[in-house]
Amino acid sequence: MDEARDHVAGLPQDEAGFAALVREHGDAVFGLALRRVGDRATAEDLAQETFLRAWRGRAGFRGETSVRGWLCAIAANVVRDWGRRRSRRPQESLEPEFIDVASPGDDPAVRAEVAEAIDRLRTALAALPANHREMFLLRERDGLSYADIAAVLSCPIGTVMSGLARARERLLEAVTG
Amino acid sequence: MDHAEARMLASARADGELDAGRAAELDEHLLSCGACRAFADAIPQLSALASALTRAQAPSELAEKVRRELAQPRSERAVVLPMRPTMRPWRAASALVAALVVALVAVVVGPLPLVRVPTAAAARALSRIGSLHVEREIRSFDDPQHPDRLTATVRESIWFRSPGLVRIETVQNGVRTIEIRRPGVRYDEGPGGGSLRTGLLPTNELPEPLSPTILMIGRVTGEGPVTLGRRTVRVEARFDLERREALLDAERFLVVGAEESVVLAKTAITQRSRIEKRTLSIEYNPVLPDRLFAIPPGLFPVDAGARPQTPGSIAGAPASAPEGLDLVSSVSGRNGSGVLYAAGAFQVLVTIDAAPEDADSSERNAVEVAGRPGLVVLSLYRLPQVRFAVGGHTIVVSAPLPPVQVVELAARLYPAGRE
Repeated sequence: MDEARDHVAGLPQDEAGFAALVREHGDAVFGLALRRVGDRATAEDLAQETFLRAWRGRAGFRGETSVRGWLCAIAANVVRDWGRRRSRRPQESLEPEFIDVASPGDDPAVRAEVAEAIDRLRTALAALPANHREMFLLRERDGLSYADIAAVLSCPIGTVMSGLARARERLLEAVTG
Repeated sequence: MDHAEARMLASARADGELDAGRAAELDEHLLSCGACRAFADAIPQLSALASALTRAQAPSELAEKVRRELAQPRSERAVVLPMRPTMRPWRAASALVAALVVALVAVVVGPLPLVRVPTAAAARALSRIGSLHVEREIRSFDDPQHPDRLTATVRESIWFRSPGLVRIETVQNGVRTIEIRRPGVRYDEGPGGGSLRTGLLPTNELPEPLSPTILMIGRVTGEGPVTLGRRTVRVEARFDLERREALLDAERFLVVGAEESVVLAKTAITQRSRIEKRTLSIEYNPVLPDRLFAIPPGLFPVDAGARPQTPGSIAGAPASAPEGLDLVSSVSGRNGSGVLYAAGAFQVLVTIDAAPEDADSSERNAVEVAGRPGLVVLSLYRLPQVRFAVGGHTIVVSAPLPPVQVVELAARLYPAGRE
């Protein structure tokens, strides 16, 4: 989960090295955009724009955040700009991200139980307030630190801390029934 | 320590974000609280479960697309400007607009724009248009490898407006799109074709000049561009309530008047990025001719579940619009709510029996609407809303006005004694 913190030294300054960054962090950036716009084609365009903007602004990266956190913060701005250009609120959509469920094991009983818990988790995630859901996914799925999440969501770290706890409480209530 | 705080600290500790001092306080609480202990113990299981959710996969060609884009010569990648861009004439995308603009404004050239006062004939021609808004926006970025120049994106928009009707023509980096909007109808046209929708028009799809992104933030402004024929600087502090940020903008205006019109040449520098925005804005009162908003033939409306109704057939609708406004259309929503549009100098949206919304990202303040308790709801991307109850209905009034004026408007729509 802490892979995002492994890159604090700097950014590749050559184009090939930068393209490798896209492969490493593309899923996180694309996932963030997709959750907010709900459309794969648009999310891909915004992810591409994010990386191009990051390339142009790479001199400004000082390693104060993780590379992934920095990219996600840029992506959040790109989506925001897109939303303002379109004069509409970015749409929330969980569908594309939660279509498939990983295979939980060989034992059919365990598999059914875990699949049911995952199903409940997925439903509870969709019911969370958008910013709490985003905090949870940025932390659990993308491994961002609280400081990185605060930068992406433009909120204080204390808000991240309380929001994550609240999200976990609600998710646990749903999962444990 | 209460349970909420204990759970917040337990959650932070699971993420490695808690210092030792606070950890000791947490442990003390956990010793005596089984429920919080159970919560802390369950966090790793929740994480394990979350890791089983499939994550969104970026398209495999994304990395290749970015690599190709970076490998392209810079002149093909984006518009490249000299370090000190010279001011160019307005480039209007339609002949009509070009003619009007040329008649009205000679050319905006140099750091101190030169603007010719419009002739009376041009003003008369323009008076048939409700309003015209031309905008050229250049967003520029430093290019570390080429310090002698800036890389930039350019967007030009032309807006025709009248109450409730908007036609927007945008050219961004050579791609031209057209949008036509009015209450309940939206038409989009781009390189890939056009689409037409009918049904409810959410308030968050209001056109940019009415955009809540501008209206939802508090404003503190200095002297505005009010004196004809003079250059003026406006400094504006904007407070973004949701993101809790303050932005300082400085804008330079040259103001030229022709009766009701005003022409602005504006350069804005924000803290986030450099945005050079050339704006020509002409405001007139007469109604815009409908032909500017004609929907091209061959496109079929898609019913979004709403049906037009007369205002009187919706329970809870105001008896009449306040002076200066007309109730122009209404629809019934899928969940039984009614939506009315009132038009005048601006659009007013009245929603009746609205479903309660998630208050999480909103700011709410208690107010009084003609003696009734109400709430002002502020959130980004939305117009200011005033919510209150009348005769068993929940009424939501929103308008592109400061919140205090929306409260006054709501009180005029639903005066005291009308339940």
